[in-house]
Amino acid sequence: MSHKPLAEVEQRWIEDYCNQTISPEGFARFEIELERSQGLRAATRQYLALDSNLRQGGESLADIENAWRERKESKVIRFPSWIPVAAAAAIAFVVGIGYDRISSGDSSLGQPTIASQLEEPTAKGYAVVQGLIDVVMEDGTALRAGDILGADTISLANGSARIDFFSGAQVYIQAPAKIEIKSAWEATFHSGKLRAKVPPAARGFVIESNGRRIVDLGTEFGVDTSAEEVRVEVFSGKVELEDRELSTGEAVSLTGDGLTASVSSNIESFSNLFSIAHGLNDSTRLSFERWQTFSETLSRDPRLIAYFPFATKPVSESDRVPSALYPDNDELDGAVVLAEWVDGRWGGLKGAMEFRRPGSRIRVNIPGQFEAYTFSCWARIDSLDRRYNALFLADSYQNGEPHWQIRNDGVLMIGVMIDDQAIRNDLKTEAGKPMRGRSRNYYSPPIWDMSMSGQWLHLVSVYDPSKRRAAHYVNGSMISEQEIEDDYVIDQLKIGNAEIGNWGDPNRKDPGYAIRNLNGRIDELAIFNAALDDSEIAELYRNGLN
Amino acid sequence: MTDLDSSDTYEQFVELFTQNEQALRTFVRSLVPTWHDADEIMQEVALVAWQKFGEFELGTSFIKWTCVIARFKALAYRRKFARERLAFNEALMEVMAEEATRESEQRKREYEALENCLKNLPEKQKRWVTLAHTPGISSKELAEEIGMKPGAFYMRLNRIRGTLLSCINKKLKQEGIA
Repeated sequence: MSHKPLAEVEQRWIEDYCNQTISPEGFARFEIELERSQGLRAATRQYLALDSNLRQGGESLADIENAWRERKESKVIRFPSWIPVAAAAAIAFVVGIGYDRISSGDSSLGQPTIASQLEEPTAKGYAVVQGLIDVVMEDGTALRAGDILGADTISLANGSARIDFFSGAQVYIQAPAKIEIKSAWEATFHSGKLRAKVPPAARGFVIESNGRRIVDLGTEFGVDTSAEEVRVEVFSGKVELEDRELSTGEAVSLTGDGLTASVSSNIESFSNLFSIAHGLNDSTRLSFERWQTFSETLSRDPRLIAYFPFATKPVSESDRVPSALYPDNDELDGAVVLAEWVDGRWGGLKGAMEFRRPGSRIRVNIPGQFEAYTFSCWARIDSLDRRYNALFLADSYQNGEPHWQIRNDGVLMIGVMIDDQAIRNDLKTEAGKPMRGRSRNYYSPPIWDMSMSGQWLHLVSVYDPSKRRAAHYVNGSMISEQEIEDDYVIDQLKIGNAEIGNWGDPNRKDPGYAIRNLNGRIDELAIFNAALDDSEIAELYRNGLN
Repeated sequence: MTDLDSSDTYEQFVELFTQNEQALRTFVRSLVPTWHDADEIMQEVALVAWQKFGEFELGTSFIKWTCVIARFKALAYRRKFARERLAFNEALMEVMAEEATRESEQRKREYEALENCLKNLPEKQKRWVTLAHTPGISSKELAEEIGMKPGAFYMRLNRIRGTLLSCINKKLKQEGIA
């Protein structure tokens, strides 16, 4: 991505753009590269500046002169004559000389070669709702912590919110307020009070208000639109306006037509925005405590066959994840292989496991025979890198064993092996032999795309042979439901050796299938020998919300 | 608000404006597709700047102040020219404007270097490039007039601009600025 000397195609773009001979396709590529490359932008400006400097002698002041003349008939002030050398020379050439024909061997302008598309998958999100207190949205929609915000407009009728931009900037707003997110680096603040905290990494973060740009140079500042003009106040550090810089304790008011006036500091008017942070901490702690209580109760649910809350990393044995089933049974603990303890839904208050590295996994053994499955977990997916991305997979995938995973297109899948000896005609091994195993997967519609990267989701899949039903739930709500057909009913379910976050015993050697580590985190995994109903699943979700 | 009837104020404005006109024009040019667009915007900017001149705080940067107005005008004007021409999207215009405001010093030096570089250019080329950049003459007309195919015309133009650009960059480098 670094900008070496301009590539030939880039030079062409600049020239053709300047001459307005660029093709629409070429321009589209040019624009994309410009957005990416500061070097190309600088080169473009330099080129256009040359174009500008070669061509001079505009008459921008003529209009004012006319206006002035109307105002004061008596006295017309002439402008100082300022006809630059180049322009004067140009005029001389136009007047009375023959055109100099310069022949050129170059007969055609080659079309710029379009470089191969370098499109990378990009997240649609720019920011995440980090915390909310008593929020009511103007339009009645629900906003919740963890929501990923793209180019969205948030209008708070009540309450206050903290929005963390992916650039690193933290923005606190207090109702009534309206903010329009433009990118990870920019938002338009239409009304209300705002406080922005910008760490050094997010220097250059821009809040636009009343048509004015407030560029943060690594600092903390407030914006208040409650008066007719927008007030900007720097609490610490520096911000840059178009025509000046503001330092700690300085305040200005901005008018819509681009003007700035110094005003006195009034930090008190932002005091509520400072207390939000405490309020948020309190509400985070409260929701965590609510979950703790719920989790205690859950661990005694007799239908549970596995429960890993990933509460905290064990002090002595970091390679173990304790089972929370009641009564305690060390045999049910999971063994950590390469997976890492990381922060969970409540940041530092609770852990989670991350399966970033291809070999990451948690090995478990779950003995017993079951009649139904409900899988429940909180997952924070960074990306779906594998064709199949594991949530929970039984090793050998023998009769009655489950595979719970997410396909790379975001589809949630629950599959159970029906007959591991059946010969499949549709699939062959690499050696050309027919594959064995008759299983059936039940698919949800896509539940995940890159815009949800980094967002905590509550995922539940139910497999209920007695009711011939398989269903998927996201964040407490059912999103799809399918009938289990007669040929695919199996009522003898088992798990045995299995893995969380990867697949332990792939029977295919193709690495595209064999490696299934989930690039993301799992926080709390519960498996029930039962089909939980809608309200129970909604309750799991509600009590697990951060 | 400064008294509009004060001739002194007007003279002051004209002086400031003319001092900064070229830099401002270059700034505007970096945002819009053609010279024609830059010209139109410049006229509006001059008018607004004069109307608002009473609000300008003497001692602060006049070029920055007018660039703010110019940025607004360019964005407002974009809707008009983007219908007919390939123009940068709004976000890109903003970024270009943002970065351009920090380059005025470099632009000034480039402008100074250009004068020398023009002198070094062979006479024919100098006349030719100057003609191609003369207000009131469109490149297309000029190409037709001198009997060149547009492709060859632009090729020639690009080459001369390229020569000038390397000369400018060489001079700036010698000064240790580029």
